[in-house]
Amino acid sequence: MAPKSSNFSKEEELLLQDFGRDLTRKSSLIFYMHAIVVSALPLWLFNRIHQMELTEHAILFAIGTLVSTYLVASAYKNNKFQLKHKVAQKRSDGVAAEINSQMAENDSKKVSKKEKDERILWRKNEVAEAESMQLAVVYSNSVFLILLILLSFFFFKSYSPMINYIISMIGASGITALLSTSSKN
Amino acid sequence: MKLYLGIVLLLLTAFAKGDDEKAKIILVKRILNDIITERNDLAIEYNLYNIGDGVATDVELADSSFHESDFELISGMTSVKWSRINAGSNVTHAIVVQPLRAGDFNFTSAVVQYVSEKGVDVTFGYSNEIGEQEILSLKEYNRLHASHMMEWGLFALWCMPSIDVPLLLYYLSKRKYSKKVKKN
Repeated sequence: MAPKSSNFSKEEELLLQDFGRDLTRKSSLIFYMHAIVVSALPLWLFNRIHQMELTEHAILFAIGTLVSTYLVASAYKNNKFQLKHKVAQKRSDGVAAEINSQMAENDSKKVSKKEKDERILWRKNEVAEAESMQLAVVYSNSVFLILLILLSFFFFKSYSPMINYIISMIGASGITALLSTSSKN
Repeated sequence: MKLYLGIVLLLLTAFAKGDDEKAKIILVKRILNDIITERNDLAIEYNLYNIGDGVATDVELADSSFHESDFELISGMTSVKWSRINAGSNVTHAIVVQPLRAGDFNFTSAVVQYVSEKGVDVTFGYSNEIGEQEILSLKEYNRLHASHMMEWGLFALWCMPSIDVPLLLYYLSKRKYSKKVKKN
């Protein structure tokens, strides 16, 4: 593995961004916000259907929500990484067309092929980043919610509400995170 | 009509004068509910069958298992009398009570007393013992059996932004770049 160096060209930096797992602060914040919302939603079900009082089980709910938030956010990150390449490939032509039309409008400026390619790469990365994030959130949220409903209201329905909550939340978020780590080549 | 009744009574007397014509009452106690819940109606049915050859007279059914401290009597009586139950016939009686507390409750036997034969002492009989049954609390009953349609509907509504908004944004972007390709 190459040592970290600040001597990468712009193109190399873009490639690293493209292929890397790391998230920007903005992306991390978006992911954690989505994760905390989707982890807090089941509290409604447990309060109204399983008859668990929020005040009585506040500590349990807080821990469960935080653990689930972390696991679901991991699932978002992994899914986004896997989806980004596929999305980038699909949007390649569309982004190139967008950049070409923008450059055609600014006819007076002569842009080198290298600069044009860099712009296309940068824009493709941007679009792929946004779309893969959105898809990752949709996919992970759907899997998490379906698993939670199955675990809580079918498999562990007759268990006591507290045990039901622990197993369902950890189970659903854990399985969602686990599924996101599977690589499909 | 009076002649017909007279003939019937005569025949009955003739049959009744046979030897060993004793009444024998079987008492069956049943809970009609599938689920017993605190503060919800609980129906109990008593069936008395006279399987003997004689008429049972002064039949009295009593069930003292439903104390005021545990149950509220809604309908019917826990102590009932019938003047006679003919041989081979049966009668049914039902009561409705409401359990006042959740928890396990032991449903014991009801008692029937009757005169099986003229000049003989009163005979006592006991129904089947239903045994210990669980009385669910209202909270537990709602948790397990209520439909919760409103709750599910609201939950579905609140899940929609988490799924639909990112999906919409994805499709808008996808459509935008597909159009650009087609345009070119």
